[in-house]
Amino acid sequence: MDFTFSEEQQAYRRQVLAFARKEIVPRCREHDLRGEFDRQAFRRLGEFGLLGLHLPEEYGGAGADVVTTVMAGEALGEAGVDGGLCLAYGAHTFLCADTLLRHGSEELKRCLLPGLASGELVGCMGLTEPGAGSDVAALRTRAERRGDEFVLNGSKIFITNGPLADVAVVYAKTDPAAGHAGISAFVVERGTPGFSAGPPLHKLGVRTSQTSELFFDDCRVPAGNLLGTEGAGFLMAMQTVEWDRSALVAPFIGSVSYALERGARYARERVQFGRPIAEFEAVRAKLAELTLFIEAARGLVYRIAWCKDQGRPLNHLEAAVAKLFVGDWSLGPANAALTLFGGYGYCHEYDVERVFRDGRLAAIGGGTSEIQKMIISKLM
Amino acid sequence: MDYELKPEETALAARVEALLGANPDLTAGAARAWLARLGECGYLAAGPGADVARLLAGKALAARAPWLVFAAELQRLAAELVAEHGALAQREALLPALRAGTRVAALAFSEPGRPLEAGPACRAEPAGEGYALSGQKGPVSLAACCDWLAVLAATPRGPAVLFVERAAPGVEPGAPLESFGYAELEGRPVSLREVRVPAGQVLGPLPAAALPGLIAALRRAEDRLATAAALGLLARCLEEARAAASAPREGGKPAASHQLVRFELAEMLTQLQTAELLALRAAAAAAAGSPEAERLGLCAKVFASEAACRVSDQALGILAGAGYLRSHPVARALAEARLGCLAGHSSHAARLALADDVLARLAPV
Ligand SMILES: Cc1cc2nc3c(=O)[nH]c(=O)nc-3n(C[C@H](O)[C@H](O)[C@H](O)COP(=O)(O)OP(=O)(O)OC[C@H]3O[C@@H](n4cnc5c(N)ncnc54)[C@H](O)[C@@H]3O)c2cc1C
Repeated sequence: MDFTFSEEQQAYRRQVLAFARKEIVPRCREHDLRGEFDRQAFRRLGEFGLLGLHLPEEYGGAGADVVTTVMAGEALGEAGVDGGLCLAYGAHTFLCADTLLRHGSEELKRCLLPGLASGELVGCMGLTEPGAGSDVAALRTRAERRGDEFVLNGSKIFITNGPLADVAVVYAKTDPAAGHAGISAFVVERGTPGFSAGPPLHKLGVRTSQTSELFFDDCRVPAGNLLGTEGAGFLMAMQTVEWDRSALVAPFIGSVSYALERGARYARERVQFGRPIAEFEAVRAKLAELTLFIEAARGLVYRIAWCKDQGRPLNHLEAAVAKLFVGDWSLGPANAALTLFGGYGYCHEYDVERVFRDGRLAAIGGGTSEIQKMIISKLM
Repeated sequence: MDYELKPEETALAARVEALLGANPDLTAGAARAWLARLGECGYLAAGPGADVARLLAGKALAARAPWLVFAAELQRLAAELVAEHGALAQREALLPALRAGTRVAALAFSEPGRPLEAGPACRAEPAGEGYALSGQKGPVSLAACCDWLAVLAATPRGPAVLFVERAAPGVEPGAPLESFGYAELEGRPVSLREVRVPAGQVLGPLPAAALPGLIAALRRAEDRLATAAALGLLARCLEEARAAASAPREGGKPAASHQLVRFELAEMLTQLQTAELLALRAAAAAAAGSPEAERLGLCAKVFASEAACRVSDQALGILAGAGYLRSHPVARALAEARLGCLAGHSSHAARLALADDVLARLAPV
């Protein structure tokens, strides 16, 4: 066994850290406080090559391996990039662009992927519905074939990048009687008649990502926008799980590293009872709590990335274990980080309250912890 | 990066599994025979660099008899001390039998009511060609069945480790202490009264500065064995709980028909997998001599040993009355897991060491 990263991977990680600290992080706090998407930062992520990092070069990407891609996500969090921007990037790159890459026609790929890789276009993925969250098969958005078009009717909710999206990968039922097997996936472009987004929802955390409803009202899309074949949508959604359990959760782990670094410095600087609080064992124990989480979580998340690089089929059990661990076990460390800063931790200036709020999503988005336990207990 | 276990990393565990299959007697009376078997299969001699193999073998052993991991790793530590501090003749005389497990060494470092860091109160005074050793040690595991006691003592010229024949006049093991768990180790106090030890059996006297190194070696060995033992306990508890949860119950459905029970099993598996990966990572780092090895080793030890406590408790919740019987592996695991949090770097001490490392790396003064 060998858990080390290659020299190139480590060098790239350092580059991402330096880039993010210099160009992105200084902008994060104000956008978070205003609850605004930072389009300029998003474009810079594209220019730096992160939005298309794993996409093939022919579509504007860099063709990086999965471990490097996951490591870049972790580095963004570690640098201090807020969870909202990381989520916007994750939904855009892994849930939208990657699905398009795997299942889209050549024409769609050539037309949309370069723009997605550069950040000129913003992508989203619409699966969840008001009546279908954990129970994906219950989704009710309909797609009916009419000639060489599909007509979509229904709505989606909680869609990251929804209000901004130029390209949406949308899951809908082409055969309502067939359960999972009746779900298909489509590309719907901004401006398509009958396609609209609701206003951004007010959220606890990941506030710089815009989350909204999507509405489909006799929305006609060309048959060529069907991804893969009819009825293959559920499997496609499940394929994104690999990314969801690795690249999308990696920034959460990185953000705990960010809180650890800030916490260590604060513990040295903050003096109470005549000495730095780092001298109090109960304060030091909190730093240890964060370290334990980071090291434990890394092993699980990079295992998924490494297996994907080896071309192995996803081990759903291991994926659920990683998601469950990051989701549930990050709560204690995030809370410990906030507590370490006392009242300052409850305010925004040290960013730990943001880490605390943003991290809360890890146990909900992309399948709740209960759903992970369901999967694990079924497969074990 | 490579998450795949290599044949050379799994071979030792496979040999240990085979031994466990062929030798069902895991009672305290079988300790000597087991150490000889572990010597024969290469476990006791597996050197530095074989950390992953040892971890997996230790886990396999601990899933059936966690006390054997303690016995084997302490024997290994005795051999390591000889290899590091012994003169050539001592190495030739002591090492082969220790590594083969044909002679058993019990480690007598601790003293009642005295922290190791305070240094030994036990004294070895020069006497003729060797030393006369006096003092109180304990608890000493396997003190009654060992051949040698490896006794940490102070000489006028610095600390030393004396390999004392257990049958030597003046060596007086007391009655076994009634411990919460690990009864097979039969930890007991040992009185040493003017015990004559030939110079050839003495590692040292060492420079005074060597004492922290000896203590650190003991803590490291205990951390390693506590990690391996925790992995075995985690695996065993999960196995027992799973079997109990799916067993048909008279007049009702199996316990696993309840979502809460199934979810608890999922949490247990998550902790096992997380602990195992972290421990493997720490072992791989140790084998590679990585600067991260110490930090990862502490993380693995704390996480695994605390997970074993939680998981044995969860398993007991699923097994209910059956698991509460004193002889049940899960009831035993509950007590055994607790020792893992105390041995080596205790959970408290490890957390403070981890925090010191964080402060030194991320916020140097
Ligand atoms: C900020 C944010 C961004 C998101 N981005 C996207 C996106 O880009 N695209 C997208 O499609 N979706 C997105 N989602 C939706 C997300 O994936 C869902 O919220 C999630 O899957 C849970 O679905 P739900 O909210 O409908 O909860 P529900 O499924 O209604 O669950 C409610 C509660 O019941 C529990 N529960 C449900 N079923 C079971 C069961 N069988 N056993 C035990 N407990 C159960 C759940 O764990 C939860 O605690 C986003 C959500 C948020 C909050």
